[in-house]
Amino acid sequence: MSKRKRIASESGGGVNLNYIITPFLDMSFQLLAFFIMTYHPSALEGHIDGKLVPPTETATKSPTPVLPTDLPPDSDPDAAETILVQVKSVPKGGVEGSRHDGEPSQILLKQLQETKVVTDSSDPSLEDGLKKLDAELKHILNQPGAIKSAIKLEGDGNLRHQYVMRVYDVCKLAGYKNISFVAPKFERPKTD
Amino acid sequence: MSANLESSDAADPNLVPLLDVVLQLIMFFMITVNFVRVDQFDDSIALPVAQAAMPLDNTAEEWIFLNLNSDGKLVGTLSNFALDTPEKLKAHLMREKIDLQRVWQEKNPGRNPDRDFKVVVVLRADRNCRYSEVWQVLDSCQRAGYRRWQLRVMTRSAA
Repeated sequence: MSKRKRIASESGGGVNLNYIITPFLDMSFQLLAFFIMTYHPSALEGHIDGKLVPPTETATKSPTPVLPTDLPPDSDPDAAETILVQVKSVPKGGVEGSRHDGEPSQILLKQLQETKVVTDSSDPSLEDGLKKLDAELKHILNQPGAIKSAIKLEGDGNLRHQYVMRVYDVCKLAGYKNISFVAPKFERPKTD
Repeated sequence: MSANLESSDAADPNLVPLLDVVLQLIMFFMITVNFVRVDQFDDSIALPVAQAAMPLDNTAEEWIFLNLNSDGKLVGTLSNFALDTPEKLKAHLMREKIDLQRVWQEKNPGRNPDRDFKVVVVLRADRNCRYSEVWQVLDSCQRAGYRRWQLRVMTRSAA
């Protein structure tokens, strides 16, 4: 009697699945091992969208002389609607109170006619300073007739990226939709 | 009556439920699998946390991934470019954009690349790098003609 017939007769006429499942299970475990090893929990990652505006054209000399009185006033058109959040940092190798190199030492709110220091290194912790910033931003937004809706975020060149993101988070969660990043004041490297 | 311990049928484990579980696990991993290039998921880069960040989207045609480590150096495919030589980085990014656009145009002959071709620069900057270094990379991208960028962050702390 062949093996196949013997299996069928021993199990009462049906096919004994145990003999077929074993290699199938082996292959399944190999597949499982592959997927476990290549699995990355990248769902934790998020993104912040941004747009890069084209570099502005440099001023060119007019072919005809222009009187200074004919020139348009030199003012920032967005200034009325925009708040500048400026984050100053502890310089490289320095310490200010409990803050170290690259941590925020001072956060300022600049509006059209007013500059206010929201927090500095005399505050016990950065968390306290960020809470103050949150309260201040919400206060500006909730004022009757408030038109401030956009924020320009400017960090010091030495400021660590994580603190820029912390301040961004506070601004966004305070209810401001339009937040743009401003270039830090640093020397542009010479072109090679 | 004593049990027949020598019977091979009685000793065989039932593998069917085990196989069911294994197949369900395989299905889970197959559905959630995300094949990424090394530069898209560089474990050496510790991203900052921003709760207000949006979930990832895949609406762009092409992506260029730039990884900036905690020392402010580009890692991965662009590791031989230094931030203090922005013109070289700009030239490389420009070439990359032209190549991507050419391939895209071959695949989409009837479409207008100026309007339809979307290429996004994805900057994965380490939480400890400096703001000026992030800006130097963005400045090179801007001067290379890129208009859209994304900053990658963690939506919550991994700890």
